[in-house]
Amino acid sequence: MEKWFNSWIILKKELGIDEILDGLFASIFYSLLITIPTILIFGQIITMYYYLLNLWVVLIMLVALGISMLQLLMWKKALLAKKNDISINLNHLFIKLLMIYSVIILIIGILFICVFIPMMQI
Amino acid sequence: MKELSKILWPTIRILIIPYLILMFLLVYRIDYLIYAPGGITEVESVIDIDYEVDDIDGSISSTYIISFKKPTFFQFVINDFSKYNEVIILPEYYRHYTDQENREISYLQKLTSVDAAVIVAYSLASENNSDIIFNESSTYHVVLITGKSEDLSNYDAVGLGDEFISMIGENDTHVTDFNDLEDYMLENEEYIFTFKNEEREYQALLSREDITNNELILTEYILVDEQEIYPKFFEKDSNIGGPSGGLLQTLSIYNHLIKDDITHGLKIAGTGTIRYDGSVGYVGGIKQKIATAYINEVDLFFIPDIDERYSSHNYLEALAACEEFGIDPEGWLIPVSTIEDAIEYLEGIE
Repeated sequence: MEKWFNSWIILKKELGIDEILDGLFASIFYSLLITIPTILIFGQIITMYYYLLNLWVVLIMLVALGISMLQLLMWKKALLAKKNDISINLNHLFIKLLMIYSVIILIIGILFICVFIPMMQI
Repeated sequence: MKELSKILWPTIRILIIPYLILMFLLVYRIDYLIYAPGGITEVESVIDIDYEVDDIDGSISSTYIISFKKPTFFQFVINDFSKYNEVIILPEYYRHYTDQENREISYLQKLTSVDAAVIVAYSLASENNSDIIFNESSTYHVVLITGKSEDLSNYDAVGLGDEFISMIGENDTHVTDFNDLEDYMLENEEYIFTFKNEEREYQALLSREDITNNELILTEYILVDEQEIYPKFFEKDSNIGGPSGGLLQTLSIYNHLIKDDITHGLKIAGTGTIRYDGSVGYVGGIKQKIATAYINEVDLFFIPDIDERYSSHNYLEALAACEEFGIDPEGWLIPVSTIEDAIEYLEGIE
């Protein structure tokens, strides 16, 4: 984990915080273009097929994971477009981040299936 | 941002038209009404009766469906893939209501339905259990606004669910009985009506045409005075609205007020409104309710019996739905005309 944090420090030195954040916000902006219709699609499918709610939650978790991957991929592309000779391994940096995202998505999904959905059905 | 936009631009250029079309399909709403299966809710999780009875082995649940007014094009299309869903043209009188107003109507229907269930269940239980206190002073009458058409002269001045208090009619007559309103109003004249909601009492100007043409729909309800009954009941917050849970709410409340458990360990569900005389009324979305009960594996399902006063019958609709979904209705689908029918049926189970 320490190595991972060190990689971020190196990246910050090589690119500067402004460039990293610019890449992050650009990737978030473009992933939002996908996320907004996805939210609408799922919201509307759920109202029509409410009895399959748990299945939809699992699918939403998978799609959220997919969008997270896409966002990280775009972030990586944005960083490489700014400086294509970055010394650290960006894949290694972002895979760890994807794992963190996955854990958060998994926890939220399980909370929905086990707590929030049963509560909503009252 | 610039760098990423440069990389993505060729893709964006290709996808922008399909993207805009997709967004249009996802946001543009059309005048239809879609019914889709929902779920079942144990009544005791919504209505809590503060009275000690022996353990109840089974469960009594109301069945709810998703009724979606004004779906988007996308919903309209995906609706077609389900054998359970049904789409109809949105009735004219619903079209002008906003989502908020639809929610208010649904909430009002549920609220008055729960009170009707309490009235019927407590009255019946008090015949068998002397602990129960329920008499004439336990209820009171109210007249509530249950609908308003878009042609109502002063649409925004009155709110759905607000209580009618009085009207100052011709010759300054103070009218409190809503059945007499027309007698004290002249055509093309406006009169001061007084209404009350949870926050305040207010006045609104309405014309005789609003009343005679049913632009404003006033309905009389009997509500429960919680101070005058024993045991107390508590209604918990719920997302589910509408009056169709009345029959099952009545059954569940009754079961919590008598000594013997009438569920016999069964998972009981059903649908049907309850009237103050204990008779069971017609409901919509039967096909979806049967599907919901089937998906949730209930042991028996109560349904309003054939009523010759109406042209369509829930029981026949339910039989058709059972045939479509391959459900054997024998011993599973139970038609009842009154709450007493349902209780008798359950008491007769060995």
